[in-house]
Amino acid sequence: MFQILLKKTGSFLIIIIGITFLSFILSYLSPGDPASIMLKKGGNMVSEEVVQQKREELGLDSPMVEQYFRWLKGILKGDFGTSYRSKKSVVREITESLPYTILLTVSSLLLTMLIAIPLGLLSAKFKDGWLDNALRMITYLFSSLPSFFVALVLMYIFSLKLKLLPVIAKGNRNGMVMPMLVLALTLAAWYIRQVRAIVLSELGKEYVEGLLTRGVSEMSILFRHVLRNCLAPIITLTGLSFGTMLGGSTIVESIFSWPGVGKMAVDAITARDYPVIQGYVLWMAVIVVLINALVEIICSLLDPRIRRGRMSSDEA
Amino acid sequence: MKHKVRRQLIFRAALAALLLAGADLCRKVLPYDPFKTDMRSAGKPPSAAHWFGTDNLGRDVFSRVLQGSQTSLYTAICIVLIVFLIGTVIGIVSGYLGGIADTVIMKIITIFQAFPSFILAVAVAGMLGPGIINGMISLCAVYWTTYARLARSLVQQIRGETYIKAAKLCGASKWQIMLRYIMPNMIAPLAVTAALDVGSVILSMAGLSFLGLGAQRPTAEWGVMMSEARTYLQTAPWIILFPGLALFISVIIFNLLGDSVRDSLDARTERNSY
Amino acid sequence: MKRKAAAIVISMAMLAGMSASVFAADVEKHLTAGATTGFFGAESLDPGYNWDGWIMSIYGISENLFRLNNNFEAEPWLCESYENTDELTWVLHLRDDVLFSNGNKMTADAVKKCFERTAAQNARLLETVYIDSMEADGQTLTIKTTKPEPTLLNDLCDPLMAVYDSESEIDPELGASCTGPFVATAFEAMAEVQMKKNENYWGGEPKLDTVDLKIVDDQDALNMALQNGEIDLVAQLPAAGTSLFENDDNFVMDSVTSTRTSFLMYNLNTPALQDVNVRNALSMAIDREGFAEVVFNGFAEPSYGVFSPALAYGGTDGLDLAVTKFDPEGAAALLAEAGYEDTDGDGIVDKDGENLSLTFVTYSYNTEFLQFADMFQAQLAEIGVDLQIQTYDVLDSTMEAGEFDIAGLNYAMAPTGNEGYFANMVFVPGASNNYNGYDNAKVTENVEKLSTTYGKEDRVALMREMNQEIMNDGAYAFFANQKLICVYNKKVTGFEINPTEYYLITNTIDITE
Repeated sequence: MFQILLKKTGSFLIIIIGITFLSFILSYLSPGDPASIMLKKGGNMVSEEVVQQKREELGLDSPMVEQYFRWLKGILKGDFGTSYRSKKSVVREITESLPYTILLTVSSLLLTMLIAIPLGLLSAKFKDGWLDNALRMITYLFSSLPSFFVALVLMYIFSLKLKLLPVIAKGNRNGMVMPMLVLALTLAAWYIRQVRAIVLSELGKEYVEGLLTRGVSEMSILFRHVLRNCLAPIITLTGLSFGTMLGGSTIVESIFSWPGVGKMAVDAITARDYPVIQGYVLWMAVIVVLINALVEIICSLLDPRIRRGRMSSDEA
Repeated sequence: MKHKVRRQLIFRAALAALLLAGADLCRKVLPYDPFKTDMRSAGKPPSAAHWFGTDNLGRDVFSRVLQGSQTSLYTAICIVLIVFLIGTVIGIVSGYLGGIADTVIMKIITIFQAFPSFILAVAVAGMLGPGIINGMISLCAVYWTTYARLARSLVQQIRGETYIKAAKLCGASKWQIMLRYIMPNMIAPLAVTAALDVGSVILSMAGLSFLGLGAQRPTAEWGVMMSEARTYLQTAPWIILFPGLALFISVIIFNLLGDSVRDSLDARTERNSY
Repeated sequence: MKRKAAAIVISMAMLAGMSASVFAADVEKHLTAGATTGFFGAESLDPGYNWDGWIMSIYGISENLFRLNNNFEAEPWLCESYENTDELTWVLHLRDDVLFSNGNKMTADAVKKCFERTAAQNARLLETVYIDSMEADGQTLTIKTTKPEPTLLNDLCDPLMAVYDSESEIDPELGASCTGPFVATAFEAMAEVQMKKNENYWGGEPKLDTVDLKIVDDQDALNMALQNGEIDLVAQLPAAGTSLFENDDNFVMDSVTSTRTSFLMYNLNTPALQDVNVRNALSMAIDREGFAEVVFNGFAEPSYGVFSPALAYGGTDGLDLAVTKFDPEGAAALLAEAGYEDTDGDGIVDKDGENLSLTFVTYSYNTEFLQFADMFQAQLAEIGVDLQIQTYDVLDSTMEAGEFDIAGLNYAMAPTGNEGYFANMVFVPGASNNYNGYDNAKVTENVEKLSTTYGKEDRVALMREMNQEIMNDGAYAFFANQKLICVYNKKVTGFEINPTEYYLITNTIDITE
């Protein structure tokens, strides 16, 4: 057990280091000289000597590996650099915006599950029935539309025509409804089909037949036995979709002016604010890795088969 | 049932082919120059002269949508082909060599997959700077991992099959086994992935362009056109509607095709396994 | 029974109290205004920091000694009267009734200390006003300049010269105490500012109680938020949005011609552009009317001169012009005269075996300019000129490096009414934004004369002479004088648009239900 844990932690660390390296390489390869971007912001005039001085100060002339380790050292101390744009530390920028994104993505995920799990179940139960067919059409529709288009259409209908929901999400009680809807609808389209597939494969198993012959009602089988057994794959699915959700939040947050990290990143890209982009990528990757690790742990706790599997491999 | 799957596949493949051929051919018979601005006929609603109306600079939206079909569809297919090749080669190398090379490659893949896909694309495109080529590079960085992983596991799986072992015993060389036995058996599952990816790549590319990170104006690309037309959503909705519709139809055709390819493959493997 | 009655009485009283407070909330007058970062985005509320003073003057937080009127002339504001005792000495008599928002009195000494602090913080101050020394005595401030400064009063209108209480500590979030009608109560850089009225305001009680300023970079969202009633006013509306509000009775749209002008700068180091005929041909291929009418939806005036007609020395009156209309044939003829023709049949004209292919750079975020670029590219293609468009977020470094043939620029050409401002920045060799190597001895001479010429008419005459030189050289093509547009819900009253890009929120703005 201890060995497995050690091995897991080892590969986890390797992945984290790889993530930092990739994040670093991205901004290292980016065109544009950080020193002059930093100094010439706002149209200030700066001489070449001053730029050179800044370059030396930032250590931009040293070899790549050296720069990487210096950067990594900073990160371990919690120093992700300073935003060119706002002059705030990147950590502050991210920690100020992150709660908004977490709130948005978590509630969207919950909404997605609320929509997708029952519909996926029913769709599997009544395979090729009218509900299944109708849902298939709808899921095709939403998974083939770009989320920004869905966002614009919803905005047009709910804000402009019905005047029900605000355009500027921040600082408004109902502000989160539309961004949440867009994220949930586009994800649910994919989710329903995944849930349907999971449930279908579960329904094909022998114990379902057995329960049926024992006279257990179909609905009871579906919601009590099948759903319970599908829990682990569904949680894995949810873990996976968290990353998708974070990605989708870039577009949705920008459209609805929701002050989360996605909007922060898009603004930073427009302003060539490399430290913020770098910090953002790194944080998001680490968050996703942590969540997946968490999902793995939950699943192993949840699923007796996996638990047992682990134990037997321990013994071996 | 199997018949239905096959019929569906043929029909959808024909639709996709038609779309691609149309995108290529229509370009030569565009009713107007898609870049020609005409300030005096700007923002006109659809009419007999301009089927999809004109945009904010008086350009013919129909011509631009057609022109855009080429940019949007062919970049997407190009991306899928690139990641298909790169990913497959890396996967095969990893799976076939095994050992330390395999471990390193797998770790690299895991690291790439740790990044939420659209975030990685946005970051790469943002760092490289806007442009259609950079947009393509960024999507390649996201999509190659699926193929590498799949190719690797297929190689490992097929390598273990009895007929490969038999071939080895018969003295076939590594290359012969690779080309004659392993490759042909890998194509189908990889092709399914590719077919399923086209739609999602089109959407991602449009998303990047919408954020200003993909193609740049005045390129006729659907994402850019929609991003530009957003301002006129209320006053001239046709400017955003038609590229949006074109995008939607293309994505749905490719998604349907991808599903059909998968279904028919499933049907085939079912037949094989029973 | 008694208890029941008491309960009723109490609950009645509570109800009354609640409704009273609800009523009071109704009476509180609140305005929400929105704009993009370019207009509303301050990094801090310290007038001495970077360009934040500019934004604070828009917010109605900070004020200056002088204020620009709609003709860009300086009028006394926190200063009551002034004497210009000799070329270098200005005696300013400040108002006696002005308190900073923290209750401290604005004295000459406070103003002196405030300018000194700003100067120590921001190098731009001494480039704006050539202060040699200041002397404070009661409400009299005497400024001595290092060299003659005929435009001192205008220069004092620069929001960098905002008056604030530099002796009290400057709050890291809410900034300095100023004299304007509003005071910040919450500040989030580049996102949101909340303000309440300044109880100590000297210029008449502000009609609004609270103001909320939202910085939203998505212009479409801003427009919809206004339509939707989430915000009451959008400042500096881009022309593309005007069609939404034009025919809607619920909104008022005010516009005024500003000094903001869109122009092309031809790089004189590009061999092909050293021929004035080529430059004029390009200038002729600009559909100024079409651009103003369509892209700006009529909210810009086509320009053929140099400065905006909003200025005394602007417009085309009395100028001898080489380009007077959109004339593709004329442009083609000029190119032919310059020796360009399409010899290899590739659709692009060439000379000495070189195609006429030019790089056009402009801002990536200026939607009007992006549309201009598309339009210009298409129009040049008609006369056989190939235009490569490149856009940048930060244009200056590209231009400094000289990596352009034509640049599309948009400048406020006389933000403080100072005639020499733009010329000093662009036309004079070696000037900070002289990116194209323009050098005309006569222009330089006139710009120098301006710095010592005091009479208004003489200054205008110098400007007109200079304008003619600029026109003759054709090194620039000024093509649109932009209007400043503000649109607001009709329940907003007392809003007055002004052509400067300062003073937006004032004490006269009111909101009625």
